[in-house]
Parts: sequence; structure tokens; C-alpha cells
Amino acid sequence: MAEVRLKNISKSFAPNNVVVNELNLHVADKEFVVLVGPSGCGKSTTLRMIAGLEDISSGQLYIDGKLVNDLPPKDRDIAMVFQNYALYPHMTVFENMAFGLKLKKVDKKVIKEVVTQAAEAVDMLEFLDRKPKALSGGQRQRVALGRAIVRNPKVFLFDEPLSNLDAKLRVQMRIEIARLQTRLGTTTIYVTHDQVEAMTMADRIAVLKDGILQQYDTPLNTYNHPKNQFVAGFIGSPSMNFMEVIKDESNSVTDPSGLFKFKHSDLQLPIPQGQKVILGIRPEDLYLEQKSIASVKIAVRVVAVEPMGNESFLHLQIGPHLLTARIKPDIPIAKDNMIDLYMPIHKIHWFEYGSGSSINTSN
Amino acid sequence: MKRTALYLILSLAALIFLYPFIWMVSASLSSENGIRDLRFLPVDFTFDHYIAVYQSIPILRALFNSIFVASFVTLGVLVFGSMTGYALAKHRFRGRNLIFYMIIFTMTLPFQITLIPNYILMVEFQWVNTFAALIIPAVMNAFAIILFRQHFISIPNDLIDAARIDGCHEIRILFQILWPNSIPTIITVGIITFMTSWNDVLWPIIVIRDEQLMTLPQLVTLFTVGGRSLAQIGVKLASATFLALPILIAYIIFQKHFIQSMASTGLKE
Repeated sequence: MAEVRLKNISKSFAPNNVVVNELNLHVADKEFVVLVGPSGCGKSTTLRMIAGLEDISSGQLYIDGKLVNDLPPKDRDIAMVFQNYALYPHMTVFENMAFGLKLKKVDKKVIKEVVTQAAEAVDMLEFLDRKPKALSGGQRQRVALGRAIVRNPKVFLFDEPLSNLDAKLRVQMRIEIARLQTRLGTTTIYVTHDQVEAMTMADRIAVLKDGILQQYDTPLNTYNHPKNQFVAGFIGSPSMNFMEVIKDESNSVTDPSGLFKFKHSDLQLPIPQGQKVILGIRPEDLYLEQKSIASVKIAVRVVAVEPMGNESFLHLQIGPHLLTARIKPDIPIAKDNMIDLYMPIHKIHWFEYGSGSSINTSN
Repeated sequence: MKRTALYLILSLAALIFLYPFIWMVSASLSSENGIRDLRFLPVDFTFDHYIAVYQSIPILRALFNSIFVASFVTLGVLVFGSMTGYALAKHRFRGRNLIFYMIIFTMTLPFQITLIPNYILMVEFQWVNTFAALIIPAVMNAFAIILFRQHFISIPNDLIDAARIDGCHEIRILFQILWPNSIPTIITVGIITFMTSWNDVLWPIIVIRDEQLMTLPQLVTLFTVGGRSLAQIGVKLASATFLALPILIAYIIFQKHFIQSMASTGLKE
């Protein structure tokens, strides 16, 4: 098992096309790290650089303390699982799983033993003679997983492995991968754009945007204490509500067009008066009744109601702002009504206008 | 009724195409006097013309030469065409598109334009009158490169990446991963190349003078038009039948692939 260390890693495909910018990341031994971000954020490129499938433009990459920048993929002691499984169509399940070992000239008996064990681990023992085309999507991904296990690598790399599966299978495979990683204790780096996968599987999440690391923290810290507006908006579904407001007095903020004003003695923002600021509030932190004394009340119009069965989403409008609230399913609220919502002040996130950096209000 | 009419028209069309061939075979088995009749079946059945051909020219040697040359050309085209196609489809390097367009450009040049420069090259290399002159200039084929490139583009990059992680180098990726997943393209390129090489007459006539090195079409052409057949039509037709026979046998064996390869010529499968 091994730790992975990325030191000032950059990747550019052309002089003015920097895909990954000065990335520093330390993945501890046995840790499960998820790289998450929108399309084009550089997460897959980062993974491919770790795998050795993409050259590193600058910086150093260490696997188990060894500089591997110039090592070919086969010598990095890694295994990778791809989004579209990447199974060799002309080989059987057994041959797919055994191929890497065969190239390493491992003894045939050993290969058979190792492949059988891996096939058992991924529940594919009875399909060893089948070709990939005779398997379902979930089974194919299991074979890909088995092929990775067979190599007994220092690091597992996953590149959006569940994206091609249907929702139900995705949940099932998510659990299986997490369980397998815990059992094998192999350091794992997992790329996804699905923040539910990131939240549920990771020991730590690295949120990337435009090739720059935005936050590297535990899932709950990323959710509860986002470092900037991007992370706050990206992690969480439905995503955090944002409103642009102006600090007008020491303990109040107003909408720029004067539509509403939030005033409370606990509303202490360490920014100069007259400055714009971004207010962020998660959908589940908007209440229909006052739950905390330190709350501000807002009157909003209901634009749409989305009953999900176990909960309902209210789409609301206040001035130019569109908000989403998550409420219990049994509360009857009709479209186009005006309702009052309460926002606990300690649940509000504040971000600098322009840079989007989080503003610390704890002092 | 409509169906019957359709079959009648199709049969007539097939007959128009087939008749000259059937007549050639039939006439080659007829006596010299019976040839003038346009019949389906041989008149005064005889193998004399075939015996005459066999006795006049080293036709079995030429058959061997043709098989040897066409096989090596086909193998070369498959290997080098797939290598180049792989590089153009899956590797990023400066000038990749320029090289590809240049390869396409060479396809637009008629063979006659490069005939003399190529011949001079053969003379300089001292390859005239050797199999090298027949094989080496033919092993790089623009058409094969394009067909392989187009096919390899459709193969997911992840498959190649997975092979790299498993420990494959580029040659192994090509022959152990890509080739087994490119059988229709390999058959298409193989059949077309083999047929083109088999039927080539002009280039062998230019670079081969030694009768022992001549290919079958070259030998038969020189025999029929060169005066050695002594103006006997039966002997000429027997040699022509001999020339067509191997391709005919190949066609019967690989009929399905022949049709597929013709249908997919120049198109992505």
C-alpha cells in the first residue's frame, strides 16, 4: 500500500491551454480520495497523469515515496478502472483479468489462482468463460474491477466508473467499490462529476475547477464549511441558494434594488459598509417556521412545487432571486402563494463579492 | 408477375456479365476449329491448349511467383498500413494532419505519374529483376492507411490505455489488442490488396525481365500478345483461364468477405 503525493503538478496541452494548474495533493496510505468537479475541470487529466497515460508538464509525482514522473504506466504499480470498462472484446473474462499477469510472465498456476480469487471477490466466478459482449453493464464493470484487483496494485485509480450504469446499479456498485476498498485497504483515487458519489465514498474530497484545487477536505467539512462560492454551489443537491446583497449598516444587509432587508443583531459581517457580498443558504436551511431566535424572515412567492415523495422542493422568488427550499412532503403549499421563510443566521454562508472566497464570521 | 419480370431482367444482366467468361472457359476446352462458334459448351472437347501453354511457358513457376509476391505485398500492406493508421488515429504529434493529407494526396496521383521515378529508384537500388522491385514499392498503400485509420478512430482510447497499464508496448497494442478487433478491416484491405497485386501487369513488365521471376499475369500477357502463342486463340484463352482460376477459387472461398469488402471500399464500417 502507498501514499500518493502531487507536488505543483501542472498540465498544459498548449502554451495558453493550462488544464491543471500547480496542483498539490497528498493522498495518505489506504485513503479513498475523490476528485470532483464539473466537466473540463482537469480531474480526469490529473488521474491520467497519476496513471502515466498523460505526460506531466511540470511538478513532481510521488507514489510510495518514489518519483514516478518518467515511469511508464506498467511500472507505476497502479490499476485503473475506466468509465466504459475498457475490457478487451476478443478475450474472455478470464483472459481479460489474466492479461496483465500474463505479460508479466507470471506462472500459469498462480494466474489461475489469483484470477479465481479476484473473480470471487467481484462475484463473477461463473462468468469466466464469457466474452464481455455477453455481459450486462454492471457485470462488465465488475470484471474491470476484478482486473484491477488481480494486479494487487499500490494504488487504485477510478475514472468515472459508474457513469454508464443505471441509477439503481450505480448505488449498488458504489457500495461494492467502497466495501472492496475498505477490505483491501488499497489507496484509491476516484474521479467523478457526481457529488453524491463523492460525498458517500470519499475519506477526503478534492474539488477542482478550471484545473485549480478549490478545497481538499472531508465530505462533511466540504459541505458544511465550503471555502468558496464554487464549492458551496457544487457540493449539495439541490445546490446552495445565493443572493447578492449589500451591507448597509453594521448588522443588516439589503438587496441592491431595495426589495428586502435583513436585520439582526447577530448579523455581524467583517466587511466595510456599502460593500457587496454574496449570501448563501442551503435549501434545507430555509424553514417555514421560526426554529431559531437568531433568524431573519423573508417573504417569497412560490413559483413551483416539486413533490419528491419523501420531501418536496419549493422553487421561490424574491425580487430577482430564485431560491429553492427543501421541506417535508406533507405540507400543503400551492403555487403562486406568498409565504414567509426563516433563515437561521448561523446557517448562512457569506462569500466575498467577486472572488467568491468564504468570509469567516465566527469572530 | 412483377417478381418474375425482375428476376428475368437480373438473369439477363448476369448473363451479359457471365457469358464472356463462360465462353472463354468453354473455348479453351474446344478444338481450334470449334472456337468460332459462340456456344456455351466446348466443341470437340480437348485439353490440348492447356498442354500447349504448359509446354510453352513456365506457368507453374509464374503461379508460384504471383502467390509469393501477392502474399508478401498483402502482409506488408496490412502490417505497415495498420501501423501508420494507428499512429495517425491514436497518437498526438506535430504534423499529424499534414502527413494524413499528404497520404490522401498520393491517392489522387495516377500510377503513370510515379511510374518513371519509381523505375529509376529501382534501377538505383539495383532491384530491377528481383522480387524486391515487385514487393517493396507496394507495401505502403494510402488506401489501406486510410481504412485502418478510420477504423482505429472508432476504437475507444480507454481500451488502448488499459493495455498500456497492463504492460503492452505499442507493437503489442497494435497486434494483440487492435488487430483482433479489426478483422473486417483486415479482410477488406487484405482482399483488395491481394487482388490488386495479383492483377498488376504494367509494373512487373517494367521491372522484371527474367522469365523465371515473372508473375502469372505478366507471363500470360507477354505470351498472348507477344507472339509466342502463334496466333492460336485456344492457347491464349487457356492461359487467360489459368490466370483467372486462382482468383475465382479465392472468390468462391471468401465470397462473403469479397462482397463486404467491395461494399465498404472507401467507407467506414
